Amino acid sequence: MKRIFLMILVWALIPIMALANGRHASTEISPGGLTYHLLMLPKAKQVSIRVAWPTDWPFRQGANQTVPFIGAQLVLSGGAKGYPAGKAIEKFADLKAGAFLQATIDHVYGWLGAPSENIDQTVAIANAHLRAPLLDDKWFRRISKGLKREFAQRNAVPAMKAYTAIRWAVFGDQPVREALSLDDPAAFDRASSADVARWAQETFTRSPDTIIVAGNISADAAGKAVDRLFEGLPVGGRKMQRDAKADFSPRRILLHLPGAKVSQLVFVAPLPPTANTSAADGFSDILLAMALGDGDQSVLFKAVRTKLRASYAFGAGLGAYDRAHRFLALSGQVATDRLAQAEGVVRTAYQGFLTTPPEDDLKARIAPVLAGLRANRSNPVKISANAMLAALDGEDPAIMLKLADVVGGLTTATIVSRLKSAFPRADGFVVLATSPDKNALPGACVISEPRGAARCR
Amino acid sequence: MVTLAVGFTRAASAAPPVLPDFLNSPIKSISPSAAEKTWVVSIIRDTPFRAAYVVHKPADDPNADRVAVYLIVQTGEADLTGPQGMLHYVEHLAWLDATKRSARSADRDSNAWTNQLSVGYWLAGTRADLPRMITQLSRVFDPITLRPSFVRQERDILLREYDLRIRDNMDARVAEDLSRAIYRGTGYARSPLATPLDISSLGVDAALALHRRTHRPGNAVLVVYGNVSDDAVAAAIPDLPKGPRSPARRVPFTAKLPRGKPSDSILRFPDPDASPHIVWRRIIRLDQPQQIDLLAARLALLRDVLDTNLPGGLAGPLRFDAFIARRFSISLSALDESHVEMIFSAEPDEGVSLNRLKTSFEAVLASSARAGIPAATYTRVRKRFSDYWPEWLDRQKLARWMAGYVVDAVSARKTPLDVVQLGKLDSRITRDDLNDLLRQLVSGGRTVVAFVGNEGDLN
Repeated sequence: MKRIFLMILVWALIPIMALANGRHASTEISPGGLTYHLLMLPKAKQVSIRVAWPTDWPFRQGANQTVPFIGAQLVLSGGAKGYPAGKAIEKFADLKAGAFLQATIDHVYGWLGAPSENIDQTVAIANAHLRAPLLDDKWFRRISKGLKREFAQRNAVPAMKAYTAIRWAVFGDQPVREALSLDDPAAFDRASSADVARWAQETFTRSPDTIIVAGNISADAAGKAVDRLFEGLPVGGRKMQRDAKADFSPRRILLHLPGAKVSQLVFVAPLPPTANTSAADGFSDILLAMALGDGDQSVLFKAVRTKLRASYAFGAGLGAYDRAHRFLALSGQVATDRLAQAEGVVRTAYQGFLTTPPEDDLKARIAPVLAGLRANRSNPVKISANAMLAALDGEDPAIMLKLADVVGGLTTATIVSRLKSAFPRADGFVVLATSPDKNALPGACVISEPRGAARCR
Repeated sequence: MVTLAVGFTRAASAAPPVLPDFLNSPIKSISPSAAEKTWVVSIIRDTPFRAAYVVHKPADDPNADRVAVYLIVQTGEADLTGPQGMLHYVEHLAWLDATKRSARSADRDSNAWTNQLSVGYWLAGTRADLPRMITQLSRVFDPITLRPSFVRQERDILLREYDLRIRDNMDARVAEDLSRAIYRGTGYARSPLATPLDISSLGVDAALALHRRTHRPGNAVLVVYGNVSDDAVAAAIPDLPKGPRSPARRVPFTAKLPRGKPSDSILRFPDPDASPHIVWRRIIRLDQPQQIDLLAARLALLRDVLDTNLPGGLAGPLRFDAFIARRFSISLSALDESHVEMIFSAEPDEGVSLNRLKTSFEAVLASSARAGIPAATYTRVRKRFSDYWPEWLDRQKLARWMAGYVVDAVSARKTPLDVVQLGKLDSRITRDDLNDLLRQLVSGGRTVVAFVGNEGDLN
């Protein structure tokens, strides 16, 4: 069920209200003037604080797209004023605390978690790292060289090359494509610690898009923790310049990889952005993707493995390049000599899913989703993550405390209605295969490098 | 699906049915009478299975209406001879056959696995569905009636699974080769996923014969986790043949391991795209056997100590005081009561060769063992260790933890300890115990190391 929480991207507007078991949500202003959302979870032992700082670095022409990734690691690991590298990690372990920074295309996400009684000390350490990171050159080189090797290894895997090629097809040579793939090893060499300093200075401000505090913590204590976390950070508030054009027009592409030992088949098509999707529709998307390709009872599994016998598993999932560009992906490894047949079988199975959705199956899948939600009703880590995404979409994070009602209220009719209105047509996919056989997908645009996908029209 | 599980990295294993005399402690193996008095786990007697456990989910659990059922056949790849992968093939066939005759509702999660010691099948659904779930799981004992052509095609599916998990995955290939080398001479060296050559040679008749031999109620253990009574579980068990029910025997770990200077062999994996790294594995035989849950807990705490940047830990000399390892990870696990495996994976810093990384690590480990764990470090790390155990007073969390523990223990062909017995283990961990284990880790055993990277990185 963890997957569910990763896939949820948007929720409907539901008024703030007191809820069962003492859980409730409110929007607060800290003594220092920062607005944050508080999700009170009386049974939680941990407190989670999440922050979404806006960024437009990945959209900037000429910007080194490795810098946010290097920076996120360097700020966390490289030490800070008063905390030489290696000291904070032990202090955090004593406090049973955790933290991460994650650079994405439109936001840098920060998370802090600690038992309620340790949250003050935890935010003080985090503040030092955000306000005064050491950005030591030796640590910078350790992280940049390491990431260079990691991404080189990752991007060499044939399955990854398929997704790299799809990004070329969708975004061409826009900067956002490079930020999503990090497939230019030399870019890691060109980055400098001065770049990271500039990135950190413009990113970690007192003007995030969202702050969420979740756990058993009073508004008074939460407000103080928020102020301590942001103490000494610059004001920020710059208007973001995010402009990327995605081209999801249907194409059939084969990336010929003579040395590959297996073939991969991927279908990608757009879905409406989360900002235009209600909570009920968001969950409908999840249930539809599960019915399509999650487990041995799903439509694609039955079609490609059980009947065609061409794959160990063929699945479906929801993804997003950024908050504006969400997509449905159908993918799996298939036997090279069945690649063309598999493409037809997937398309036919998907068309059948659109015209005759498996209504009983869809209805039955609600129960496990509800079980996952109930199991995490006092989990501040998961609730705060989804609350943050809801808030970024302009929704009220209070809905995180009512999700079981939202899902419980779904019917087969509402789920099918969502399928008909939001899911792509069967002929609306970018189809990309990687294969050692360049003739494995007759009629496809054959390329030899992922970047060649940009020329397939 | 295949899982590779030999050791236990948490308290996921348990004592054998009768504890040996070496353990002069109040811990006793679980007995039906003791278990029946403990609300968390009970044993259903007089079933067709080797054993049947019920882990009781409290009624106030938010998912009290959901039940998970596991059927674990206690034969694994390590028991077999002949081509590897035959049991994995049997698992696929048995599960396909069991599911084809009764379409499963999509509100039930399910899966199956094969590892060195067991084959497992599980379903999760609603409480009302319990009888149907147990009945469906029990169909894995029925003779396989799939079409012969379908049975033969399933070998191709195993090849596709091999492709997915191993063929294009350097880390998985390294792990397979290291396991073959470090466990050589024992059944644990066998791979449930096998190799394409093995898979192509799997015979249909041999698979059906292995299924008949292994998939018997008397060779399987039932585990139910839910808010259900023992009577309800007993009533849900279908009529099954009551064959012989001998106790589960764990495959002995019989490798001859040298004492004194550890033996050492290096496997090289050239890959122009690989991020250079080493995977260092060592198995040692302990001077004296230890109760395995207790041993697993001691090893977990020792791992936590070695992972730190505190005096006695490895992070200072390798990562923070010197730039040798860009990052590393450590695992320590109990293969059985007498054998421990340590795995150290690390990526070198710029300008550090894989060989220097290996020798630096070994020198630092030896130095820590010689000096012993400082009292201050031990005290500090010990305070963090409570998270290793379940929250004993939180009934929901305790039941959830025990469900995982019982399933893991049964999968490893052990009899689980009960909650009271587990609760006593923590007080039996001392700094001396850890120092003793650390000393033994550098005093013998078999070491196999993988060097992965460009040709130029491997020397």
